Amino acid sequence: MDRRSLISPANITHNSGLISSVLETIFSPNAPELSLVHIKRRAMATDFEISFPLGTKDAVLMAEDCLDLISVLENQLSVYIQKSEVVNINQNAGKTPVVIEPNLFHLLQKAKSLSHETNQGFDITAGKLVKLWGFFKGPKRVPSEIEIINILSTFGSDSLILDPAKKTVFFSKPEMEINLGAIGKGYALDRVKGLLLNKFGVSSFMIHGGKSSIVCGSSPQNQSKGWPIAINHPWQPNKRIATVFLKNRALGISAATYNNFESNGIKYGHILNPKTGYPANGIATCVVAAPDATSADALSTAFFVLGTNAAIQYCENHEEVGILILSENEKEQVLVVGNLAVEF
Amino acid sequence: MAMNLTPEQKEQGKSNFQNVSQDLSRRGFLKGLSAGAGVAAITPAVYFGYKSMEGNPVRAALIGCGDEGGILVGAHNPEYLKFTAICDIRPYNRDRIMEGDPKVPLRPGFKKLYGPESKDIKIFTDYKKVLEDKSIEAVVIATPLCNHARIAIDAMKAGKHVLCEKLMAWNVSQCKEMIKVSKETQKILSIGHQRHYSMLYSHAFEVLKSGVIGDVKHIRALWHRNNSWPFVADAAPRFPIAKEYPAPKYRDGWYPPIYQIDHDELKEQSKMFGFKSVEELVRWRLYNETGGGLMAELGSHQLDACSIFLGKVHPLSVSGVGGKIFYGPDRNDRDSDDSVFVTFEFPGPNHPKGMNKGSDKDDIVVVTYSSLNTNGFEQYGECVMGSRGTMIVEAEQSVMLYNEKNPSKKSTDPKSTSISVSTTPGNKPVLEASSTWGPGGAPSAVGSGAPAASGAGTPVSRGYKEEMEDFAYKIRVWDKSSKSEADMPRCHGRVAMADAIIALTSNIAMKKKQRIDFNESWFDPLSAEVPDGDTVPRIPVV
Repeated sequence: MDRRSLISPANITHNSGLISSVLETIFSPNAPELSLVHIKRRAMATDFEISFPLGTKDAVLMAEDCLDLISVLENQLSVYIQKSEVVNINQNAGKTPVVIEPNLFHLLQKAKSLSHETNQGFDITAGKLVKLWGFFKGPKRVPSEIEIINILSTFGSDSLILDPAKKTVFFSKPEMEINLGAIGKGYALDRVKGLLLNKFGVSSFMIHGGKSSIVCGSSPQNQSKGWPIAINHPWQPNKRIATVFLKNRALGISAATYNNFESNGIKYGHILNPKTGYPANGIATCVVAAPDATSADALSTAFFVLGTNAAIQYCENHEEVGILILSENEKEQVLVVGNLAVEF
Repeated sequence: MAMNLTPEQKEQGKSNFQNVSQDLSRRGFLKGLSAGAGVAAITPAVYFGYKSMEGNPVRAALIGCGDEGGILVGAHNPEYLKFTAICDIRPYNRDRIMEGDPKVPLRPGFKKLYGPESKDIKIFTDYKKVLEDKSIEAVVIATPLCNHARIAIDAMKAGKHVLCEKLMAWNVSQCKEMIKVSKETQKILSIGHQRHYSMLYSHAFEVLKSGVIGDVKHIRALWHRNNSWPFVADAAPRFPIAKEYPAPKYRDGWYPPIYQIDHDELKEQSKMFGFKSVEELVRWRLYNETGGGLMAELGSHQLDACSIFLGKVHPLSVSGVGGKIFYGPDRNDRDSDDSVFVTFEFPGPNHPKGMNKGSDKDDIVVVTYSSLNTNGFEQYGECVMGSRGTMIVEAEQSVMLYNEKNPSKKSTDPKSTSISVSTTPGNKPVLEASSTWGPGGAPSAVGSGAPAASGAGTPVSRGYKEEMEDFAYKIRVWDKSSKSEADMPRCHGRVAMADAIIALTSNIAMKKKQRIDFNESWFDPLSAEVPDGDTVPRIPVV
């Protein structure tokens, strides 16, 4: 099957391959309604919400355990919390190897390998670059070219030295700082998923952090296609681009809609290209489906930075991944590639 | 309610409930329309099941133009129910219902509402003359309690449909007589317990039914007011105050000043309407023979709410303490208790008399109610306490929802976790993905419906408007209906009689200092059984 389709919503019927077959299987006007209970709490500067089919036993109690876990992870991963493990790493790993918590160690391993896979489209070691642009605690500003060139040489995932035997991390570039902002939410969702599956034995759930990182379990009853998630236009919130169906999968969404700022008439997005040191552009919205939320988060950031062609290439080599990209040009074409159930 | 909540926690609680009520209203809306219709805010008309009057409003008369009559006029929608006549024996009230109350925006008066057309409103002093007017289809009764039954029965016998203010009647026998006459005359009898038309209460009940707050074993309801501040006379009253009557010592709506125009016109005439004096007419809420005290005026609303929360069930027992413990001679004196504290046993959902008609006789919900005149610290409302959460309804305006703290958890603050319920049609999105990152977090919901319930700045409808709209609509379709209870408005005679029984039996329990078990036959309109102590009224029905 042709796994690539370039379509615009206006002439959807002219497309073939995956999309039309997906449409046939998905579209069913008489599907029963879906009632859910949602439990939400603020963490990591956004809202985390856990949804279960209404009637799931002890839904609120389970969700509270999950939300508590997210708070614990925030205290471990945040660069904004003075006593967090990540802040400690940033303060000391440039001087000496730091022993870290095993799950965090695996997260750093995964982040490093995703950075390699995406040719540094995503890089957790660019913490200082984020600070240079004032995206850490402000004020936001456009750094000089010299500042950017200088900073680019001070980080890179190759300099993240991980010792699996000792579970230590060491920065071979001593000024380097890690920032897990692009995968922290996804990682938290994966941990919550593990809690629900392994501790509570619940398989049907949907969890999201700020609606930009989403993990779904098995389909709710009578919804065999999966959990329907709307993808809206980034600047026209009432304009629906597509509906994505997820089961036992995760979704990551990146767009330059928030946290951007304007300087001398130029708008700068918040997603920085670790290779150039400047905000990425060219894509309006990048939606990535993957088996786990850590990967979905990292890849949506990476593809946003790398652009459409690199994203397509990645999907061709990774059949577990699917993407939906809305380009940032006048045609506003919607591109769907790979493993993604979608309806328009 | 909820004296231990900070403003932030209140906001969180409101947002918790708003999530739920919006989600549920969306669900109710979608259930009422064909698939494929857009998601939009539900209107009360859709929710309560009435439709447009198509330019043919019911022509009604307002009988009784006092404080409550003024509120009803302020809330009514003339597209549904147009007042073509008013009636009051008090000249002060007849003036105010037209001119409005400058200090109370909720009582705008007809001149402001109807403009030049207000001149066409016929003005009566004798309600019997109103009933002779063939052009009038319905009457809205907002007189002192002691006259409800008499006027309602006469009106139905004269062929008018009736919307009567609560409490339904002065005693239970009168309630049963009203229902009987309604059946005989085939006229609509609706009673103004406005919570039956409050979207807020409807949604609160749906949220409770969804089980998110666990097992409910206790509801605490209260309406506390501080009417102990010194009375300050109006610097420039519209009418001079009569000196024949004791002046108010405290600011107390139940003890208003008595105006010279009322005295002059009614000092003899008030007896014709059953009142001992002009003072008893104007300050009727204070006297046991004309009013029903705090339980009738305030408690009935909130016990009505508790019954709604528990699935419109009847209580099992009541006991309580009440007394006139603050006011006295020369100090806004009265017959009625100024403080009431009552405790009810209600059947829980699994009790044989409960919502689910179960078999668990121990499934009891204890409802406490208090009303007093000497402290206003807490806002009035109802607090529903469940094993997994708490729902607080405050002043008919906001609902707050919190889950319980789980002791096996370390440091979670239950007041910061929100719970909501949603229903979406099959395969329609259950979440709108967003591209937020870092700070912010775009508030958006599935679908694009405008928030249905309480929006910031706009007061939530307490239900008066919808109550009158539904009454009018039911009148328009009445002749084509089977004219049974099912075709009546939501708070028809039998429903409202239960509220009256609760309030009046509470008064009896406090008076006798006894625990009283409710007898199911009291609630049966066809049974002649009424509570012991359902005394003969001084003012006869006929």
